[in-house]
Amino acid sequence: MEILWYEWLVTAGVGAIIGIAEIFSRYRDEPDDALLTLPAMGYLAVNASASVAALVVIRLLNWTFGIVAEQSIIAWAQVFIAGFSAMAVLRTTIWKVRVNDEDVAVGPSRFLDAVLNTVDRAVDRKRAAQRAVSISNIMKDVDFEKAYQSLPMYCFGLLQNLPSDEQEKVLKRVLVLRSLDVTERVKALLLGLTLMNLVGEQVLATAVRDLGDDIRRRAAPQPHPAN
Amino acid sequence: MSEKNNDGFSAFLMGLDKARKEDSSTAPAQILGVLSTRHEMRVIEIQDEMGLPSSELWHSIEELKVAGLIWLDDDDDNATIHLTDDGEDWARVMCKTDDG
Repeated sequence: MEILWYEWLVTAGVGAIIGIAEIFSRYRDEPDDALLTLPAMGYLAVNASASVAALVVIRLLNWTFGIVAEQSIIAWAQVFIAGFSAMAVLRTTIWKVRVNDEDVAVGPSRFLDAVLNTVDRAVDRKRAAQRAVSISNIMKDVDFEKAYQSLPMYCFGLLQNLPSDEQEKVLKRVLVLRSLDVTERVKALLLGLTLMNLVGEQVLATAVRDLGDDIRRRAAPQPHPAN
Repeated sequence: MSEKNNDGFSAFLMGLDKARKEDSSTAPAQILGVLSTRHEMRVIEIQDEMGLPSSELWHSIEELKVAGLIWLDDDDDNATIHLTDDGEDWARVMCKTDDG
């Protein structure tokens, strides 16, 4: 059995690309953020390793998949089949068991799910830090009492297809916020957080900028120099 | 599509108006305040601590559930109320800012 260096590379590359595609489809809003976390790198490594392992098995067993052609063509077919088939094997559920009224998958897919959950948590932590800074900047001078009606409505208007149940959720949160025993600044931050999760950072920043002084706190009067 | 949004606008505005006129209950906010430091509590513990009538307590719990801030692992007084991910985000902001 001989595997050339570029065959290793292409097989691992196919596995990694499938992993990248999965990460991109899972985190559509900011895929690069997700990809640059350590667990995501680990996920790509698992995918690439599985593909390489599949190539080793295929070559050891000398599977030609019924292809009658030159040896080089068979070799490339083995490389690509290894790259893709490993992903199919990794995503297999052999059986399901019922635990606490929930179906729990048993098989290689469970391991892959565990890795993906770790990626989820890493991305959440990274985004939480970024969102805290963004919210703080966007909502810096926003007055909750002035904003709690007009800001959500303006955001709804900017997004044309916001489902009514999401708007209902915002309404309920605004009602909770109005009677929450925290400072006006915290209320403004929580309103911003609610809207940012719904419409995204850019739309929220645009809405706050467009509404301008209508939702801003009045600046404290400057002391007169003569006094 | 615009009809869908207009309906949503009117529902949002009417909901706010109704809350202003009816002087809506502060119980959901109080429950969230307690949960922000404890993260999860049994319904019966909250009832003991806040002294709310059962109907008001369950109405407030329902409001917080619709708001997507809490979830329950059962549907009776022995249930435990947990913060959702969004609820945890709120709790972090509330506690962090309280700390200064």
